[in-house]
Amino acid sequence: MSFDLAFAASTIPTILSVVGTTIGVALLSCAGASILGFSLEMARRAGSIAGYAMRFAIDFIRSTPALAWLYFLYFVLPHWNVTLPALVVGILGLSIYFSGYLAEVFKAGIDAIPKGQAEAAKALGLHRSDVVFFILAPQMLRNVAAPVGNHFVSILKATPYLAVIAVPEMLGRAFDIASDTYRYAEPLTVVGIVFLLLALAIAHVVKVLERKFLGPTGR
Amino acid sequence: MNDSGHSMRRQAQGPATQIGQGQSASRHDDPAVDATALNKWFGGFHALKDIDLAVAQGSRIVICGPSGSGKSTLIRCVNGLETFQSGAIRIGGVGLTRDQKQLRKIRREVGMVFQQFNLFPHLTVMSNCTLALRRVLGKSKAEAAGIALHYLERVRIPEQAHKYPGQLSGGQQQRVAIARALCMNPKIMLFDEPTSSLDPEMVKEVLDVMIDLAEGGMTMLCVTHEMGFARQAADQMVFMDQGRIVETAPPDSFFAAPSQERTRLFLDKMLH
Repeated sequence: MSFDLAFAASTIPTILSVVGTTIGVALLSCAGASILGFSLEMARRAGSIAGYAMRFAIDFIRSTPALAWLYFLYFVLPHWNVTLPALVVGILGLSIYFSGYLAEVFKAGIDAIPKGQAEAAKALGLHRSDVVFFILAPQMLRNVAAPVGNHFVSILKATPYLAVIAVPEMLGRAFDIASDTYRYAEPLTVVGIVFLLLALAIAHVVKVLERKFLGPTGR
Repeated sequence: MNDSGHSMRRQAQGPATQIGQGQSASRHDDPAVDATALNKWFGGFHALKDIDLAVAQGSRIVICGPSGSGKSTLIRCVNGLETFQSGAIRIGGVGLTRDQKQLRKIRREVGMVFQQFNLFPHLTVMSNCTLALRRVLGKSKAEAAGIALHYLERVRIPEQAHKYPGQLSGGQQQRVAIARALCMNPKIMLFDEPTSSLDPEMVKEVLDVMIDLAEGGMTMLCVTHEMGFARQAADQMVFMDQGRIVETAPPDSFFAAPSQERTRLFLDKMLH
């Protein structure tokens, strides 16, 4: 069986017809996972009982498969009369799953900030939320830009999971073509190349943002 | 601030601990800082032992002592950066508590300068100074900038306002840190070894600013090894060792004739 370039090219429009879904799900999941992950980590830092609960939540999320989250949200929630559209389940599932990892990245990013930064801010009388928003978060972003970029690429690469809950996405489309034509190499290769290009795009955006955050202070 | 884990020790302190319980409003004749029967443990390490220290308004106190004697811990207790297990601290008559709102109110009136400067590296010198003015005191951008510039001029560094801390020398950074604290118009300034991480040629520019402040009547609590500054600016010396206040005296008699052998030994090492 030889690789048919012309056939490969013919699969591109079908596969690209859902690239918007892949990009949209990936972007919203990156945002969701970042917001949720940061919230989990800040709640964990608040200490006491909430802190232990959040530590458990982060470990629990990181210890469960992404597929389990998608299946749970899609098949179990309806038992409690919560029925969400597949697309929403997909975004929510990936956001939750990756929030556990991003919480750990944010933890490392905050731990790397000298303790004196928060002390100086507190000594000025700043409210706890202002200390986080104006002092810790901006410095954390500089520390975590690279690892967060890696996780964003992971989120992109996890979007094919959504095929199991019937969200139309690229790998699923490629498989449909393969099932119809019994040719696997061409559509799967095309999908691989599209993912590669998207991942490179994310890496580039992260690099630009990193340069911006590292910007004028020269650190 | 009291921790029930040490309630037995607290009872042993007797009536002194009662002082910290009341929440009466600040009166003009209250001491700026009043620590009574203060005890602090880091785990099993007894860092502060029965500390009693009253700082009158306008007074300049220099705390010295060997490393590990508890001097930094003591001034970090004053603005609640460290908690303590028993005793009480009153700032202008108001007791320190764990209540965040009251703690923030006290911190507004207590400026602090750190050994490592702790300027915010991602903000310009100007923004370092205006952040708390805007977020804590609710000043407008223009008003905050005016106040910041006033204090940057006072520490003789207004031309650096647009720069980032990483672009300044250590001495300049520490002067910015002093200006940042002064912007809040504090009633008390705490200095925690402000010159200890500076190159020798930059110590003087920081000490000059501190002397200037002292002459302006600021209430100051300084942990420092700069005995020249102490002679010139302090009106009271406190010598600490192993978590205790060993000796308290005006600088003249403190340096000329310390009453405690331990103080004499320390000064012998410090002064040559």
